[in-house]
Amino acid sequence: MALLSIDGLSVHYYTLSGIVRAVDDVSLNLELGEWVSIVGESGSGKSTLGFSTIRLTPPPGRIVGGSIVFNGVDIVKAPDSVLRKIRGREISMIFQDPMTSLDPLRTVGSQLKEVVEDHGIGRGKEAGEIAKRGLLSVGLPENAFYSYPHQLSGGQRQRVAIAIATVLRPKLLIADEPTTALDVIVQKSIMDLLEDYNRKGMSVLLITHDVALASERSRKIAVMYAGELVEFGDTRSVIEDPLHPYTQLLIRSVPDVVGEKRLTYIPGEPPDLRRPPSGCRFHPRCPFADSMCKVERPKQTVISGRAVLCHYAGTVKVRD
Amino acid sequence: MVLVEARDLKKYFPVEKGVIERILARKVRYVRAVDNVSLEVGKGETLALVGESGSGKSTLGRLLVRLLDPDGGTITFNGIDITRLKGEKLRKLRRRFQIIFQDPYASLNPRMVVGEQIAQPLTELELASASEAKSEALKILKSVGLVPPEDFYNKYPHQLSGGQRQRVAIARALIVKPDFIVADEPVSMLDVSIRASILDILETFKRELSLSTLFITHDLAVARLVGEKLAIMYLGKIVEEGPTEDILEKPLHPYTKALIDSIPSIRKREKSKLGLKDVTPDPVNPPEGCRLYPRCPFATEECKLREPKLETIKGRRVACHYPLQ
Ligand SMILES: Nc1ncnc2c1ncn2[C@@H]1O[C@H](COP(=O)(O)OP(=O)(O)OP(=O)(O)O)[C@@H](O)[C@H]1O
Ligand SMILES: Nc1ncnc2c1ncn2[C@@H]1O[C@H](COP(=O)(O)OP(=O)(O)O)[C@@H](O)[C@H]1O
Ligand SMILES: [Mg+2]
Ligand SMILES: [Mg+2]
Repeated sequence: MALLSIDGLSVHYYTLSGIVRAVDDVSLNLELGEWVSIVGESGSGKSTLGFSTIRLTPPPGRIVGGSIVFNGVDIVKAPDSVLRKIRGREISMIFQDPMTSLDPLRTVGSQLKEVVEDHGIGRGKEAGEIAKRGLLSVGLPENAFYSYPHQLSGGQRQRVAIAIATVLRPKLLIADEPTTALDVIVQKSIMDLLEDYNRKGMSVLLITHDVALASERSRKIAVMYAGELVEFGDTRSVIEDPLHPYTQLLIRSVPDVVGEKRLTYIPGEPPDLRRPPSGCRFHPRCPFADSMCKVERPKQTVISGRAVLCHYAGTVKVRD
Repeated sequence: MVLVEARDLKKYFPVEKGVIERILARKVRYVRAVDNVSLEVGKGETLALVGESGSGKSTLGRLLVRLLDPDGGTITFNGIDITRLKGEKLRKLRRRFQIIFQDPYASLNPRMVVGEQIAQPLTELELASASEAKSEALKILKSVGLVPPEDFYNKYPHQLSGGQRQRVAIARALIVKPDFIVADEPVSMLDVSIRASILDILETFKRELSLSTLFITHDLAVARLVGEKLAIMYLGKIVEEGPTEDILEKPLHPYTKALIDSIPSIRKREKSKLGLKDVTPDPVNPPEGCRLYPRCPFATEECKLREPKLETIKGRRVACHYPLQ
């Protein structure tokens, strides 16, 4: 049984200028111990999906349909008291800006200790010891315990956020662009750290716009476009033989330091989700779109274990 | 032919910002944002400048187009020393070097239609009449892909997407047909699916105007697409410089190698285990000797004591006592 099973999830923002269909009919599974990455461009709905997974959809957003089952609990319907126990303890989250989860006025040690105490893992001195070990395990020196967040670098702050997020040994860590603000050398060490945790059994849901990063680290990749999940499957097959035209074009657009040099891009721009295109949302930018794509919304089809949202899944291929 | 040349360029920013702070501080401390940098950009050539955040890339770029005054060194443009040029003389030369910023929103006027903003440099520098400027603006709107240009001319920045705004910023910088541009992370805020469309536009102008470019980016993969030459900056200094493909294939400086190995790639590729120590570089008190010394796995006593000079090895410049083999 999957650890996390999202089925037909829709999340909309009710703004003054209209309804933003940020997540629309998204289904996704994550097995215990697995690392799944959600990739997509800005505004494709990745963060909305991440927040909604622990029912922290920011207002004016609302989950309007579908279910999220985590470890047997229906997150959408669960009472607040149950959710509070799950958050932090079983599912925790880190963000692009580590200060989101840090208090600038308190030492990182006392913040970490508080998390330990609040969840009844330890008290007083014992909590302090657990907190210190937490900092060591994310590769920070012991004296970091007495530092204030502003005394640390961006990478070190993200390590503290990871220490706080993992000290209760959650089953699932949702990481929303945790390294986007960091330099690549630091990014690598943070990703190595997450990989260590993953190897020890913690499942990871990484949200990133960086396809290459996702491809190096995850077991499965879910590609989002304009609020929809357009392709989901095993990393190597999604990268090496993408089935959705969007995935095909996206992967060709990723610049690399090795291999062929080319300037490839997808014509046009992602749509405004207050007025998503009719039919297939990718049709205005898709080289294969025909009259059916303009009017009829595609249904998810599964081709050799891969879920694809395209009328012509498996029959169209962008040429080199 | 060399168009832009910097020699021993320096820019030190005082850490103590306010006057009182400076008086109270026993000794004013400085961020050595750019510290003795020398480089050349040839006519029609693109030099990509890569480095981590805070390494001094933007400061160097601003110095070259004289938006900042250097604290030392010289800048020559087309053989003319422009280091201390001021007033009318500088204004006259301004047309020939332009800058494009990472965040086009911050560099555009929110209350003016973009067409007028694009035309503005032409009238301001008295290069064209108002009506000529307008028709030039319409022309360049078309070349940056904002069609139909008549529609885009009358739009405000907030009515455009990030990619469209960057096109406007490019049009405004290039309408005066400069010889040299500093492009400071022009695609860093854009999604990967549209990034190359902007690079494509720059590439076209580069060919048509035989434009020389300093292309600033923190992304080596982007640098590879745009620049035939590459310079790597670390803590205010250039540590390696040379032909892009040579450096990517065989970096000589340990920092360059660490940078290349850290870039995620969709292709399976060999990566060394060379890791830099997680020491935060401090631009106020940079290490004496080699600046990478506290982080470098190969560092010796010599690296700690003596600063390596940029020396030419195999058609490249490298600042390392023990360049990689
Ligand atoms: N106007 C200023 N006043 C004081 N310090 C400054 C100023 N501009 C830059 N600095 C400092 O100079 C150093 C180099 O900054 P710069 O903006 O040139 O780096 P960068 O390589 O462009 O970084 P990024 O990749 O983040 O844009 C940094 O330590 C920065 O804090
Ligand atoms: N708090 C909010 N209020 C209104 N609209 C929002 C809010 N947060 C996100 N959106 C909209 O929802 C869509 C998806 O956004 P998001 O989930 O942040 O995407 P991503 O994380 O992939 O960049 C976008 O159109 C965005 O503008
Ligand atoms: Mg997001
Ligand atoms: Mg900069």
